[in-house]
Amino acid sequence: MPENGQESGTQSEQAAKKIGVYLCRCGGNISDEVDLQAVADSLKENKDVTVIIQDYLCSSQGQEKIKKDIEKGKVDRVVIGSCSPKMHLETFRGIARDTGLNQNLLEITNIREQASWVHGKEGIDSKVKGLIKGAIARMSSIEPLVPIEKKLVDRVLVVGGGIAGITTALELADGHEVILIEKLPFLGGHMIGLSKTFPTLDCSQCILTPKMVAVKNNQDITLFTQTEVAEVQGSPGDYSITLKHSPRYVDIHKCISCGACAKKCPAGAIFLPFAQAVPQAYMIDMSKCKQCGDCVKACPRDAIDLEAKEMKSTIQVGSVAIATGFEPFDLSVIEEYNYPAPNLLDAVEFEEMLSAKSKTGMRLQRADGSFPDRVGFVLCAGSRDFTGRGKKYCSKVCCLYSQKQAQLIKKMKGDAEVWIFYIDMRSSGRRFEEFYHHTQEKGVNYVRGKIAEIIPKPDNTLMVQYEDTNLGLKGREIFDMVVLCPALIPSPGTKELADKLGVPLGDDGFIEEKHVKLDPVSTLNQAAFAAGCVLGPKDIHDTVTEGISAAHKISQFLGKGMILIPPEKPVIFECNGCGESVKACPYNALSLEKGKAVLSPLACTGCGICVPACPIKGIEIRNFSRNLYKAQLRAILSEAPGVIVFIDPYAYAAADIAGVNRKQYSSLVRFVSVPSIHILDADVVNAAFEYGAVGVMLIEGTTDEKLTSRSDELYRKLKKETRKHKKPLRYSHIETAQYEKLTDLLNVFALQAGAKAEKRGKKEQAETADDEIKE
Amino acid sequence: MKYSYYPGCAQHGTAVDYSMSVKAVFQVLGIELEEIKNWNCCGALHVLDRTARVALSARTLQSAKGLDLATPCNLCYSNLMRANTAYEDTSLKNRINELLVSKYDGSTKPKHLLEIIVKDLGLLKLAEHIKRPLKIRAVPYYGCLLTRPENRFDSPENPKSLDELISTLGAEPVKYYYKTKCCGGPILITNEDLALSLAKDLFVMAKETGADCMVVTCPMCHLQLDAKQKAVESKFNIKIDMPVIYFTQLIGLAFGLDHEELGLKKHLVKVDALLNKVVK
Repeated sequence: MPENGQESGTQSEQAAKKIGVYLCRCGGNISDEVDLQAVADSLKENKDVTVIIQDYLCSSQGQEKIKKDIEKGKVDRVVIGSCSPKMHLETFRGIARDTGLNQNLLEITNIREQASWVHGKEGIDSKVKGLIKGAIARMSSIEPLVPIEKKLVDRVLVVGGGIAGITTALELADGHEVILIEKLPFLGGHMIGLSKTFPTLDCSQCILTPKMVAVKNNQDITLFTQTEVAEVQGSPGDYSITLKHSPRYVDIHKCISCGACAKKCPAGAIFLPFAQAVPQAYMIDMSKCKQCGDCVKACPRDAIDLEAKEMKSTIQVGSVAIATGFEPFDLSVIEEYNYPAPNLLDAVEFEEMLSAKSKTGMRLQRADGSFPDRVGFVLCAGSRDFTGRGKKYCSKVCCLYSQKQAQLIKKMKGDAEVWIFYIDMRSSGRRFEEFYHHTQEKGVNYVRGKIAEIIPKPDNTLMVQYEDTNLGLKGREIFDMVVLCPALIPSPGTKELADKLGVPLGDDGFIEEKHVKLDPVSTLNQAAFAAGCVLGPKDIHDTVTEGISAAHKISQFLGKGMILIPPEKPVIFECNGCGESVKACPYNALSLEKGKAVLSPLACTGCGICVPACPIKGIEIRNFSRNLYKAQLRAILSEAPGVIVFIDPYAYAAADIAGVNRKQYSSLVRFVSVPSIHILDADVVNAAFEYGAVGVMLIEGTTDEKLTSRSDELYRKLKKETRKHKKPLRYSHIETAQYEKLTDLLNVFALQAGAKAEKRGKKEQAETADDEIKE
Repeated sequence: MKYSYYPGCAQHGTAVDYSMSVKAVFQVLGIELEEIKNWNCCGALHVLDRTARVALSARTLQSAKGLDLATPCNLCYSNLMRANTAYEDTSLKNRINELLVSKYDGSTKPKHLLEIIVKDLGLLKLAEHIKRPLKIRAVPYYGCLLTRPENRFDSPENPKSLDELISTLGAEPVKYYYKTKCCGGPILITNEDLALSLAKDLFVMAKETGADCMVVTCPMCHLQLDAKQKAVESKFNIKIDMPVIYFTQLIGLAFGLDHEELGLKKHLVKVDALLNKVVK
């Protein structure tokens, strides 16, 4: 096989092509808005094309039809008009593989998420006709390529040492090497700070501690605490990740937790985090330490080093599991709750008091040490909030754990009064409604209504003003303690880590699943997986399920031993050795050898930044060449003028989310996929204008700074070099989560570009009229 | 700095002390307040007809002649603000402009005196004039209308500008969770029992903080909390004895102005103990 995966070119060189165009009705999702028959009719004159309209192309029936057509030799290239390629490209390429068709010879045009779901009927037919014609033009000269194989590193980094990370690591350790890192000095995450767990009331540390010990004792798991990801280099399957280790000042391998140091410390700065902590080793709070060195002298194992510094190390891994969990929402934002105040806690603080991490000897107590005889729980503190202050989503676990906490109080003191203020009591799921019922039987007061305010009194009681919507009354109660159940939000640093791995987040800040229902622990990065609350609030049961799932997916991914990387790489067909492209490549994938630029395909991400960098236009990306783009643009705009939006894969995902949410925008918008906007030069953009684009946008979604740092320069350059057309050009950065910003932007731009085009049209008309008069 | 000035009815009646202190303090600060001519009632809380209520304030706002319109009263401030919001409804605007001799376009910005001092002038500038830092503890009481319903110059739930002003003057603003609760003033005539009970809640909470005085920004609050304090005491059989002073009086004291010039002699609840503490 030729290097860099080009298949023998016979297929592409055949004179007559048999392109099968398959349009999916999608059970009305597409055909209710788009007149597919009219689209088919518009393709009649093209002799290379056969059009088939079908319902549910993705069904076995639909797939079988395409398969048969290929096998019978009716078609040798396939264009599918359906949902997003992010949804079903793999499905359909599976057919291609089964029939021996090169997978590049099958492409999807998105006419659902980016057409029928986001436009009314106006202008949609001509848009879809154009898009399909563009896809046919592209397909006519696409070359068949073979994906490049790369060897995988059979080692996994699990980020986060809570129950999600622990489960993932333990499940993987049987067969794969695992590196588990945790930001805090000990394992266990939030779960080790829980008392009992609903609905069975078994003790959290009793079920978690054996797992933490198992992590420590497992030969295949390397555990680093106080460690975070500093930098990610390399590519999926072959990452080189730099870890940052904060100093603990106590060597965990030497420390035997004898406590000799703590006895000598005059400042109480050296301590064991808690009795069951893993690793079992002391640590030093440097904000208290006076550097007297008494502990160093006291330690019989010579384990303490007060001079310890932050360290860095680099690891090679093939895959990453993100299990970074949650943190409670900042309740001080809700001003009328007056948090924090004495005896006004959030639920995490309440739990910790009764857990392994307790500082009160597992006693429930108020600030003055007394037992709270009247306790109020306030649900949805920052959840289900559409005012803009809190989070819109339900945090899912609060209804159940607050009732568990209520039961615990009742168990400690039968005549204690417990009130739960709720909006809706949500206890769906196995054993949960029974738990709710049981809590009611214990004599807990339930009040359906929102809290108006919480007023801390000088005697450290708390006055709660509320509305009881069942009774239609307003009320006021004094409590000894009030527990706010905060919204759960992604833990700090989630975004930074996700950006480093090229994993998009949703607008709620949680990691976006590859498919929300069918691929729930995979991400858009094929080597990165996620589990637990970093995917959204959930209980321990669901978190463990996801941990096991993520381990399975990772095992499957690494089990292949190699990874296929897309073959759409630069081809250097002419080179004068000037070195401009080598300088431009941010990934060091190009080098000069014997005066010519040479590509290392494994280092190349296919971004295309080398294409415009070459002053003699000697580089093109396979299947994304200038000529291919021009042919596609000409065909797209042959039906009607429109706004051409060049969009990279990350922003493309935002457009898909806009579609799923049915955010409407102008049907003038025509997306053209680019590996990155940096592949573009004035040649292509000018062509778009010449073929009738009323405006051009460059939408970039990648968070890779190596690219985004050059975007302004690219935009300025393109603006200058396309000025002669006097048509609007705009650049914008839209991350995957910002789909609403995207649609707003598209609407504004389409409106401006449309209006400008109309004005120009009138002017030209007038000028023609003038000319006629003159003549 | 110059503002058009809409004193509202209280400044010429029940709140002469407020008026005196405003005059004295703004003179020191060099901020000119030019009283608008022939002004009318803001409508208070008692004009039920919306058109009439908005029209009253629109007429006042129109008289500002292009300057920002300063007002010392929370009620007036609230009504002026609401009139501007109501003016976003074009049909109402047109209807009212038909009633007015001079049309109002909706562009005058009403500003409370507290807003002018804290935001426009700035507390750093204010601090330059302090001669006598106040070593007292004071309750910052904003009243219910100053920052509500919407966030204008401070948070509706937990405003902080008066707290910051009090600290600037050297005094300690106590933590007071009732800072935006209703004083009961507006319902004093219609439901005296409820009005006095609301005021009682404010007093009890204020007493518990151990503060030397309550600081108010509104003549209605002052009337209720100062003039009706005795009524609250006898109705609930409690001792309150809490001086209630305007924020401008507090500023005046810190500026070293004479307490008589600030109208402090006109209060019903005696301020002698407070003055002794200030002078000491």
